[in-house]
Amino acid sequence: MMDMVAYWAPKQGTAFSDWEDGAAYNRCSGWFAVADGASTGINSREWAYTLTGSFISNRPERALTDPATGFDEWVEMTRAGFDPGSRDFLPSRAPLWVQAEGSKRGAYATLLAGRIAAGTLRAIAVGDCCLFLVRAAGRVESFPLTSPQDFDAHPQLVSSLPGRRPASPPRPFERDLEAGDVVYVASDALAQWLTGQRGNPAVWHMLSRIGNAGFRDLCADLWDGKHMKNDDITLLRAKFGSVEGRH
Amino acid sequence: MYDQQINRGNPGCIVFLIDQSASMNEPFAGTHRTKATALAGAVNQLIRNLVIQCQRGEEIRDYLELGIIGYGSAAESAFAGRLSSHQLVPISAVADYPARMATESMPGNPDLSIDRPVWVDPVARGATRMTAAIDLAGSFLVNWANAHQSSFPPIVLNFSDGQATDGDPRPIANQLRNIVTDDGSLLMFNINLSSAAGVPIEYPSSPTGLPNPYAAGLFDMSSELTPFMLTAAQEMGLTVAPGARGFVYNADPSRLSEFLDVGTRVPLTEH
Repeated sequence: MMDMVAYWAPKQGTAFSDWEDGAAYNRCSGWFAVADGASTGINSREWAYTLTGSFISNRPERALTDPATGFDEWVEMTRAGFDPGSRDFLPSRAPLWVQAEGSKRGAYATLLAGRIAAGTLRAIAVGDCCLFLVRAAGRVESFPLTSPQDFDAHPQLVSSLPGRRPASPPRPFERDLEAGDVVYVASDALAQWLTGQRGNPAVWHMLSRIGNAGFRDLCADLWDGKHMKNDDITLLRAKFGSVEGRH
Repeated sequence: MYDQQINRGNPGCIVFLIDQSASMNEPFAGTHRTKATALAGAVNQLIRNLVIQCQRGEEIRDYLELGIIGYGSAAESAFAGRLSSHQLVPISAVADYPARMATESMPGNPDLSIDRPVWVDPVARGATRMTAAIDLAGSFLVNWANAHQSSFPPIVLNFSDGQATDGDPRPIANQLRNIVTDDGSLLMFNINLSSAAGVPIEYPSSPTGLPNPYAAGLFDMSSELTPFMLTAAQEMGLTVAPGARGFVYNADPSRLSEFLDVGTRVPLTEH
């Protein structure tokens, strides 16, 4: 079983129920996913939850090995099962016409998802959730964005509307892992800050040991210091050990 | 200036001034729809879009307050239905209380229909009491600005097809634009709706070349676009230079849509 954990914090000044990211992982299979629901879309939180849950439960291998077609197949299947009115979600407080308009306009989310298995990390990205691979030797690689300037207000999004594709296919990432490597996946606000910390080993050492309370404190400090935009924050961490993940 | 992010702590305010005089019953720029019908439809659609922009998760957040003043023989709130006695309404209440739902065909697919909310009805009768409408807007916007000094300043969009019949509106418009918050002066934008298909004049930076004193007067009453709006207009492919005024003359339906889009672009929070 892999050492995998996710931390999250809703944006400052908002309630627990306002968190619009989604995160899911399976320590046994090594599948993981983080999605960030577009706050300007309706039902985006439900879509982010649905995307991450579907990725973990359906294990779409072809989405990772052949993203040009495998990703579309998996998204279409996920769309077919998407029901924002499901009892799995909080009931909407929006007027009925807004809910109807929302169904017509669709929900949107960025997504970074992948799998660690047999000593290999494979991932795909749509939008600005980022993966950070911290090598045991200290070198830090980030994907798909590499610097704080790469982030803008218009990331690529996965739509809940049938047939609606991102402007470009998901970007793939594959690396062989070594014992002691740590993989992080962060939603955009934290990812933007982290891309600026790739040369700061203290940050990565701190993150490798951080717990839930420490994560909340870190977010509060970064928000208070205006180092990170006030957004929902998610961080998933997977530690690749000497035995786990190699079969 | 003009960069205060709009959020629940610092809401924005948008007021529409809608010409409801008799001449609004004429066809709009050579189309089959009257100017009154086209304008009411465009405003209803914009309100619908603003509501959706203020939707976060499962609620409509009060990032904006909206007002609609119609002016014909009188100047008064043009909200239909339960909001008709209100001058400024939080957008969550706007969302909750459309006057009614109207069944419309889906664009491009007449076999499909959708129910859409209606807040403003087309009206076309009487004179053009534009000056009274500006005066009425000022009477509540000055209070709003005093109560929201840290907010983005109010935006007033004036839609008309002709000259005011109740005196020169420029002095009261100047007074209206002197309403300020810490983030800048009230923004007033004007659009002249055309009956005949003509050559529109969009977002001029100077009055040079305007065809008549009426157009020059509307130019005088119009604020410059903010940098945020200027960028939005350029991204929409419009030719706008720094110093461009929020003013369109001889507008057709597509210019009306653009004007509504540009004139209501505000730095709305993502959260």
